[in-house]
Amino acid sequence: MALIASPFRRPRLRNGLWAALSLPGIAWLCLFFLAPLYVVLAIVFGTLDPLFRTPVPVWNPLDWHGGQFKYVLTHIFGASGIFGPALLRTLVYVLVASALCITIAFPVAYYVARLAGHRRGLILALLIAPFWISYMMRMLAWVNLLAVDGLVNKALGLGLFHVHVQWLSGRGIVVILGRVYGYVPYMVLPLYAGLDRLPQSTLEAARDLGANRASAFVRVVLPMCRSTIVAAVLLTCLPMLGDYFTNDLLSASPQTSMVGNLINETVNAPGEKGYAGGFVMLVLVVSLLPMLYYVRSVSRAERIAT
Amino acid sequence: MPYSIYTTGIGWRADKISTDIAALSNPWDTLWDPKYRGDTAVIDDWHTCMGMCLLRAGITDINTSSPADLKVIKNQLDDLSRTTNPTVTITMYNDLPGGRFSQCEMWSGDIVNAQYYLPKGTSADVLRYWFPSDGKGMVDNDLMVILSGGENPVLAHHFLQYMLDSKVALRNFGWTGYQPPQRSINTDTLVKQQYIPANIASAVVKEEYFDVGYRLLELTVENDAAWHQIWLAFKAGA
Repeated sequence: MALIASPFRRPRLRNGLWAALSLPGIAWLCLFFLAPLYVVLAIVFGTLDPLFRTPVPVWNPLDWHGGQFKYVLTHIFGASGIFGPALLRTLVYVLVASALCITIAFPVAYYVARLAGHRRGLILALLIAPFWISYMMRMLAWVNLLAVDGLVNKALGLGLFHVHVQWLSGRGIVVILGRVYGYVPYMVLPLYAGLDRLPQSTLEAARDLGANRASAFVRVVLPMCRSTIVAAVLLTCLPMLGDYFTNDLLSASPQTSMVGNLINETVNAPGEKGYAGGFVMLVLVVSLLPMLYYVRSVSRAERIAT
Repeated sequence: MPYSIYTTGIGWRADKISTDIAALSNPWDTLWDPKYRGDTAVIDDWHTCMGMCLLRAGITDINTSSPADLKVIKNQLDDLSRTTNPTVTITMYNDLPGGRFSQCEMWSGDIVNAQYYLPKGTSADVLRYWFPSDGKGMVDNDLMVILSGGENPVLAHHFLQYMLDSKVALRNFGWTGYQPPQRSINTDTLVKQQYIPANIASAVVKEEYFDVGYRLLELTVENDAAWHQIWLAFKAGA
């Protein structure tokens, strides 16, 4: 009997073990993602202390008030649309920065994964090197480099001319390039991991069937790493959406304000914490769309693979 | 207990700004001068910055609840964004001497500190500070506070006593740049003892400023909300 029963029990035991191992992760998610998210909801749909204008969270969804969230939504468009420009700016900056990141990161990751040969370890180490220095320190370094008398202007002047470009005076392009610089390593590594797993045999089959290098790249490599590209873009897009200190350090001008700056501003102002929660909800909803696309493209890739 | 006193004025680098800002009929105008677009900063504090907008427009009630005055503030902030696109920050003590911008709304304590953040080889002579000589500007103070439920009230009082000692207060001023409220500390002593270069002597806060200057006060709940909404629109870059 024991010999017959064991093949059925082992998978069940194994499944139980994996379920148990996933428990800490699930508990972590519940404690540090779902619970805080509920707190944000309770504040957004809560009320304000009439005297101190501190948020009074309402825990029962049946008692929620939509006033603060409505204020945010009704001030995005139209004559009273004070938040519209910052939200649009966020979208444009993040899209342009992500496009630049992928343009820089993909060739680098492709080279390391497919062509670097024995130099791969060294290049990977160099790619990881920026992670050894904190993001804020790297941005502070740029504040010095981009100063009027900084190295960037000196380099542009080639030692012959006096270049007086005020890079840190509220220029959108500087904020975008700062993000590209800061987030590009986060894109290279997942792209490398995905490209490294591409089966060589498939690429060889494409070449055997008459595809040239470009055609094999467009028809085989790109479709096979679509989910990798989406994951890499997501990994950089999502933190970029909420990032406010790149902007604070490289511009600090209201003309480059993004949604992260709105959150930072309102969360510190009396009576406006609910607005901050409203902006968080907007970012969450916008983030969910590419997340859903990623889940869909991964499951489709898995279906094709099986 | 008052801990430090300060004024809000305009700081600038004379080697970068050719205009003698102090000699202008309305010195606040310089922060709106398109000639200094990208070269200007204002204080990232809603009441201080919006109060300055009122003073520029000749309105001295910097705690106003008048809708017309609030409209003036909004228009001033819109103009400010359009004309000079200022940096909104509280790091003037570092960024003005560092050259990130050449003129800014500034707390007097920060211009005193700025002399220590100048690039190597740049003399403190390039720094300037303007505050109305008749004292009719924003003047304020920070406090030392003992909690009524504090565990060590006697020690706390000893600490206050220590900080109020003139020598200690002066030494503390040397570190923070923010002037202590002792009567023995005045323009002459501070310049003479080289705590403040003569070219920024106008950063010294005089006792009479508190008689004629304007103070930022707590606003009513509704008024506070109205001020914050204007500030939020400005900070959002609308």
